[in-house]
Amino acid sequence: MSTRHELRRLITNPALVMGLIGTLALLAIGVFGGLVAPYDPNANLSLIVKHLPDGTLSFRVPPTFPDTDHWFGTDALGRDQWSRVLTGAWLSLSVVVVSAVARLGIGLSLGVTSGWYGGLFARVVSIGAAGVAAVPQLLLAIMLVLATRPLGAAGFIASLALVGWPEISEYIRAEVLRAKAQPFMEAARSIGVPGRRLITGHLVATVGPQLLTVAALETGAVLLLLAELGLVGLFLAGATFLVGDFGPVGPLKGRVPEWGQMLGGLQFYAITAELPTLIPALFVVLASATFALLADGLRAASDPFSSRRVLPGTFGVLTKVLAGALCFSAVGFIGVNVRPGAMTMEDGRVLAARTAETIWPGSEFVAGVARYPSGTRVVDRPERLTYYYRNDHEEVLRISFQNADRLAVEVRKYESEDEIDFNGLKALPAGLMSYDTPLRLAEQNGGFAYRQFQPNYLVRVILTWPGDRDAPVYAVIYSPMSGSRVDPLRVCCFDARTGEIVDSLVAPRLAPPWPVPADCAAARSVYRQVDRFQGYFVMGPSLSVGTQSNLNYQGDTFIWMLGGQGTPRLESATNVEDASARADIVSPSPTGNAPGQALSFATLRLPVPGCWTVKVSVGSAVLDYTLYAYPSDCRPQHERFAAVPGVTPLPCVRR
Amino acid sequence: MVSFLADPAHIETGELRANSLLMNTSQLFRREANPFGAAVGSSAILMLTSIAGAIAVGVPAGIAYGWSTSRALRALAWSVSTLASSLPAFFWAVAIELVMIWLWVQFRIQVLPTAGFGIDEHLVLPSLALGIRPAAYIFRLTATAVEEIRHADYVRTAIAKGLSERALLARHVLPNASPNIIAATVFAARGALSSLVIVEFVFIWGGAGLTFVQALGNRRLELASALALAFAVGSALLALAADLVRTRVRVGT
Repeated sequence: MSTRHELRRLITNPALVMGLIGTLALLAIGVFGGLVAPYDPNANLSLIVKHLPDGTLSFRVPPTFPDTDHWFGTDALGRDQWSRVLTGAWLSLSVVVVSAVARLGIGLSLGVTSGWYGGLFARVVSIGAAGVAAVPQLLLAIMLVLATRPLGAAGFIASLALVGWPEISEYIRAEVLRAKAQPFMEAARSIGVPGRRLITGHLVATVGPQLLTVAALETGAVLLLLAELGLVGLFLAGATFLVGDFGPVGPLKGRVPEWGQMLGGLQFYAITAELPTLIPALFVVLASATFALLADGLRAASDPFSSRRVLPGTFGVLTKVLAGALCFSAVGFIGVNVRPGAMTMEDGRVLAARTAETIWPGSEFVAGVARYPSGTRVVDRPERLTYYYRNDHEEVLRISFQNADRLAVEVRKYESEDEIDFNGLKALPAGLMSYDTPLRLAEQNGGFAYRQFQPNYLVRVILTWPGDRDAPVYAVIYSPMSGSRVDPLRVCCFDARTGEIVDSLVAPRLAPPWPVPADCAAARSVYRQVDRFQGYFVMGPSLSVGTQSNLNYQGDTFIWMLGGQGTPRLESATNVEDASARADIVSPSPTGNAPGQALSFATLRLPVPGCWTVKVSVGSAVLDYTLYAYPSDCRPQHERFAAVPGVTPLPCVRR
Repeated sequence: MVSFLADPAHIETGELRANSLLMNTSQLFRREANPFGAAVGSSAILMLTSIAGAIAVGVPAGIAYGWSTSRALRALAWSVSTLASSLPAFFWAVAIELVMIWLWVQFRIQVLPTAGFGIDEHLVLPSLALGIRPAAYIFRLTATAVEEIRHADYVRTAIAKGLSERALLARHVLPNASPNIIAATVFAARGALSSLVIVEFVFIWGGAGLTFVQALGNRRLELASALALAFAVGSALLALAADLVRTRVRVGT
C-alpha cells in the first residue's frame, strides 16, 4: 500500500486527526505558552482599567468577564486568565503525563503478572483492585494527597497514580489471558522460548497497540482528576527560590501557575462571578476531550478489523511521535520545585517581606494571621494567610495569600480585618514556627469542643509580639461567624519559637496569692467517665471545667454550663473552706438544649474564690464536681505555677 | 424531611455574598443534628432522581431508536448519545452552570438555581449534570438490545401473524430487553456514584461528597471517614447488584 493510501486512511479517521492536532497543540502551548502569554501571569490588579474609545476610562473590579483586552477575563485577583492558562500548561501537563505513565506502569505490571502467572497472586491483585475501585477516585485521591503531603510533589504524583489503576490492570489481564491462548504463543512456547521473552517479546507486541490507547485515555482521566482535586483546593503550587550564600535572590523558575491551582477556590468566587472563574475548567475539559479523541482514533487505527486501520509501520511512527511528545513534556517537570502543601508562616513572610519592601520600604512585620472559616471549601489549608506590615507613621499594610497559595497575593493599604491592636507590638523576627502547631494545640485545648458546638465559626491563628513579652506568641481565637450570642474563645498563648504553652496574655502576670491544687485538673476524668455526661461541660469566659480546655484556663467567679443532649442542671455549690459562702445560681439549666439550637448556658455566680464543690445532675444521676475558682482578674495556668513559698496549699480534694 | 430544612439564621455573610437571584441563600449552609445521615440522605435523593431521570429518558429513547427507521434521526440520536457519554460529569456540571450564568448575564433570564439544596427546583440542575451520562449509557444499551430483538425470528413471526405494534412491544420486546436495561441501569448508577462528589461540589448540594470535602476542611476526620466508608459500601452494593444481574441474565438466556 502506498503512502498516499495510508494518508487517506489517516484522514478518514477524524478522531485520530483531531486528537493528534490537539495533542500537538497542547504540547506547543506547554513549550511556548509562557513566551506568547500577553501578560505576566502573576501580575495582579485590584482594578481593571480600560480606555474607552470616547476617551473615558472604565473601572472594573476583578474577576472580570472576557473582553478585547483580556480574552478570557481576569481571575479574582485581577490576573489575566489566558496568560495563566498558557503559562500553566507546562507544569500541569508534566504532572499529568508523569502521573499517567506511573499509573499505567502500575496497571500494566500488575495486569501482566496476574494474567500470566494467575494463582494466588492474581487473586490478591483482583481483591486489591476491587478495594481501590470501590471508593470513588476523587475521594481516594483526596485522602491519598492528604496522607502523602510530607513527600511533596512526589506524593502528589503518587496519589494521582495510585487511583484508577484497577481498570487498567483488569483490562490488561483480560488481554493477556486472550493472547496467552493464541496459537503463536503456543508455537513460541513449543520451540522453547523462555517465559520472560514470551512476555517481553510476544505478549507486549500483542498488547502494545492497546496500551497506547489506554495511555491516551488515562492521560485525559488524570488531567480531569487533577482539575477536580484543584477544585476542592488540593493542588501543586509552585515557586522556586534560588537560595545562595547571600540569601534568596528571587524566583528562578518560580511562580508557575498550574491549572488545578487556577480552579482552586473557584467556588468561593463562582457565586459572585461564575463565568470568568469557570474558564480554566473549560480548558481542562477541552484538553481532556482531546486525549479522549486521540484514544478513540488510536483504537480505530490499531484495530485490525476496522476500516480505518493503518499499517503497523505507520502505527509505529505514530507511537514514536506521541511517546516522544509525552516524554518531552515530562522532561519539563524536572527542575521545578513544587509543593502540594499550603505555605508556612515563614514561606509567606519571605514573599510578603519582598512585597512590603517595594511598597513601603523600611516597614516592619508586626502580625501574621491564618484564617480558617467554617464554610471553607478548600481542604486542609487556611482560607487566607495575612501579613501585617507597619511603617513609621503607624500605618498598616496587609499582604494576604488566598488559600495560603504563594501565587495568590492580595495587597491592601491601611486595612486590617483581624481586630489586632497594632500599638505596642514589636517587630517579628524571621524563622518562627508555622501556624499549624498552635492550631493543633488550641484544638486540643477546647477549640475542637468549641467548633462542635458552634458550627459557624471563624478560627484565627494570630502571631504577634506584644511589647510586654519576652518572645513572640501565637494566640488562637475561635469566634462565631454571625447570628450567634456565643462568646469568642481565646486560646492563648503559645511561644512562637518553641510551640510551648506560655501564660495567658489576658491576665496580668502576677504570682497567684495561693497555690493551685493539682486535683482540679484531674476532675475532668471523672466527668468523662459518667455515662451520657460527655455532652456537658461547665465553662466560663475563662474557666472551663470538664473539657481539656481547663488545662489553659482557670479562674473567674462565673461558671457557665453549656447545653447539650439531656437535661443537665446545676443543683448547688458549696465552698470547701467556708461553708457560709453561698453560690448564686442564676439559671440552673441551659435554657435551650435541643440539638441544632443556638447555645445557652446555665449560670452560677461564686462570691469568693477558692475550692468549690458543684453538684450537677443529669436525670437521676448527680455528680459532685470539685473545681478551683480564681478571681476574675487573675487567671493563671495552674500547671505553670509552682507552690508559692509560705502559703499553705488548700485542702482541695475531690469527693 | 424536616431535618433537611435550612436554618436561615446561619448563613455566612461577609465575603460570601450570594447572588440571591441565582439561588436560595438560606439553603446554602445547613446545620444538622446528624450531618452523616443528612448528607447520605441528600446524596441518595440526588442519585435516585438522576437515575430515575436517566431511565425515563434513556429507555423510551432507546426503544424509539431501535424501532425507528429514519436513518437521519437515528444517526443524530447516536451522535448525541456518543457526545453525552464521552464527556465527564465534571464537564456537564460546569457547562450547565455556564449556560445558566450566560442566560442570566446576557438576558437577565433566571431559569433554575445553580446552587443550594432543596427538594424543588434546586434538584433539577445537579440531577441533570449527574444524569446525562447514565441516560446516554442506558439509551445505548437499550437501543442495541431492542434492535437485536427486533430482528429476531420470533419477532418477525409475530409481525407476520399480525400482532399489533403495541402488543409486540409489551409482550416480546420489553420483557426480553429488560435484563439489559436493568444491567445498564446498575452500571450507570455505579458511574454516577463516582461522579457524585464533583457534581455536588459544583452545585453546592449538601450531600455526602460535599460534606466529605467540608469535613476534611473543618478537620472532622470521623465524619469524613464515615462518609468515605458510606461511598465504598454504596459502590460495593451496586457491584453486588451488577453481579446478580449478570448472573440472572446468563441464566435467563
